[in-house]
Amino acid sequence: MEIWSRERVLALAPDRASLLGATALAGRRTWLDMGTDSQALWGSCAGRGRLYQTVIAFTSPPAYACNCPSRKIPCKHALALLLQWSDGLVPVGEPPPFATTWLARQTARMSEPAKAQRQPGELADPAAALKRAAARAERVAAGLDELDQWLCDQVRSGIASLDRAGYGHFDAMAARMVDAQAPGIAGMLRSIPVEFASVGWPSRVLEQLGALHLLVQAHRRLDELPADLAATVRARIGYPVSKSDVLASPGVVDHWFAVGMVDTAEYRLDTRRVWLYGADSGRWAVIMSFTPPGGPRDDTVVAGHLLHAQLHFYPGAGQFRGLIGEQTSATADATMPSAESLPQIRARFAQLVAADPWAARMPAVINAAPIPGPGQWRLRATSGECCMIIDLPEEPWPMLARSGGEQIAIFGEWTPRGFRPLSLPGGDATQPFSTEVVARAA
Amino acid sequence: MSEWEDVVTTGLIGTDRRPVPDALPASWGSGLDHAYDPAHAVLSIAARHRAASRAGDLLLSCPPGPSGPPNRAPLASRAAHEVLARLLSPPQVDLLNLWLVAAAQSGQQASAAYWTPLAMVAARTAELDRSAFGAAIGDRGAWFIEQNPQWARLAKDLRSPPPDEAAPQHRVAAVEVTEDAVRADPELIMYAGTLWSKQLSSAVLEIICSGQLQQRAVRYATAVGVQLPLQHYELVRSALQTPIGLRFVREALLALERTAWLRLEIRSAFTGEPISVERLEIPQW
Repeated sequence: MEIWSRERVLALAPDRASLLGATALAGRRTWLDMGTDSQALWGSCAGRGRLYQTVIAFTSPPAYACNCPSRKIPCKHALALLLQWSDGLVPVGEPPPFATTWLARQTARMSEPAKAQRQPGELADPAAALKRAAARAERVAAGLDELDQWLCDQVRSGIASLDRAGYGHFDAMAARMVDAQAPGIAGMLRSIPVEFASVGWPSRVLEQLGALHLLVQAHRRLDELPADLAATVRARIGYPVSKSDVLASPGVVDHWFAVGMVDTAEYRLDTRRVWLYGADSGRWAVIMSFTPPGGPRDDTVVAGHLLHAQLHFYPGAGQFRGLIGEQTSATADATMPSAESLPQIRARFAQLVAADPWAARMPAVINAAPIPGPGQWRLRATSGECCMIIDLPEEPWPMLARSGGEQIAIFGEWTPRGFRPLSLPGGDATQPFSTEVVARAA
Repeated sequence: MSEWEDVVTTGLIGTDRRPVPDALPASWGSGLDHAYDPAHAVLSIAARHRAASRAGDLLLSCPPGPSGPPNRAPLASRAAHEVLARLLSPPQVDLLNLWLVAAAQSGQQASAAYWTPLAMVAARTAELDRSAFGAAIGDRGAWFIEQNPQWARLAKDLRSPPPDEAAPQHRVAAVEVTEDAVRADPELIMYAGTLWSKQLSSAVLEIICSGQLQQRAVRYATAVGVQLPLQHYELVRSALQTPIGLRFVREALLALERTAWLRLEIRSAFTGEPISVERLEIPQW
């Protein structure tokens, strides 16, 4: 079992409190019975009058067990144990009884016969599936008609008072869209009130209402649209696409390097986006996972991983979202994507908008110098063009430290509002790749 | 008022009270039937404007920001940075000082990736050795510290370190300390400089193992670990092998061993020489 890097372990932390707790625990060496073999890692940590026994099974994805009261997965004890393993402080050994018992249960659970697998794309009852699809399409169409009426009502009576109507006004319509089985539309509606907080909201809100209107119009003409665009429209509305169907589509085999990762909280779900770059194909992809708040994040792939795998993309124009199919061991080193100028990135985003008019973000590596400013940081290219740095929880001082005021390569998400830095692909010899664009270590 | 601002004004007031502007660019309005439903027309224009502005708005421009002077000293090794990463999470100021002093003495510098967490520690406590920190980050690092207004005091200290905030080891004058004196006042060992005799090191370990320091034992042992002559690391083995009932004594010994081992790691990382002793095994108490 290859020892994980410290960065990979820290990326597993469900929140900052766990991260800080784990680093403090890992430093104290109050651990007993620590050990590892090729399958698992275990240890006991003395704390608050009792012994917390932690076991981590290196399954895919890893499984964690700890008798502490935390509901977080992995808990700080598991993270601390992994940190010590990462630092080479855990000896190889035989698992103690508490680990053996849990590992045996885990093995038994894993080896339970799986339900009868269907072939990708195969339906249990095609006639019933068709009926369900038709019923759903009807519900969506009815819901979108209602939405269009609502949109027109807003514009007829004027949007000037929408900021006072607040979230409830949009949540009510979003709930109606959820009922109409159009969760994508519901998400777009819920994102609108965020705009009221900043100057110039009428322009942006009107644009967003326009984007929804466009989606309604596109849905009405779904049969007339090119197949790719129709798939995009369906995806934006929230028609489900089964994983088996995606995995049944032709895949792209490549060495995929996870260049960056971002965790966000969207309505009642935590979302993780892991951006991958294919060394041979030059393609970008994003692996998305969703968990309930506080639930275990999917850490199958995190920033800094390199995997040789077949990636299957969701249908639709301008789609980055994919699923990882068959994997083999990597035979090449990680390849960093080359940096682009701001006009190049802008041109690429224009192409994306042409393919998917509702596209909100795009991966990019930018060559620019970070410039601190009161309340607003910017990235500036040598040509003088610049863009805003957005959506960072703290000021990106580590980025300025790396750059020293000069241009550096920065990976992130390009959005119409600005650039969200996620990692620094080109560092120095001691740390060639870093996801620390904001200060959190201390 | 631009065409788009005109449309937004209509959207704000409402199409019931304001007509859709007529003078729209052809690229926005072609195919729009204003007479059919003005609200639809405004929404369609908004969708088109959204796509057009996302794809084609002019990029902003701004003057260049300040840039820092270059650093000329070599970077410390990867192994040294791995130790530094451990010392920073969570920050252990005494040990960080050891790392910084070792870097300064060997003429090597810390990677820029570590300047921010180091600066955050330094800004929080005056215990971090300012002169060693300044040497470890170089001119470029000092420039970086100056850019953050919240670190203004730290930046000032780096430019001219106050005499009372010099390296901790410079604060105390080495005095001759005997075993008996240390047994009478255990804190006296901190003033003994670094050339402890084997008997003196053994006496300090006995003090820790005796449990007389009670809850102060861990802090004391960590401080001892910072100064214990590294050739006396093996003495900790016999201390660890004795049966110890008191929990704080066990924790103190672990802290001492860990600190001394880290010093060995730091020395090895900066000199390139392998560590000649094996790390002590922690008994399963």
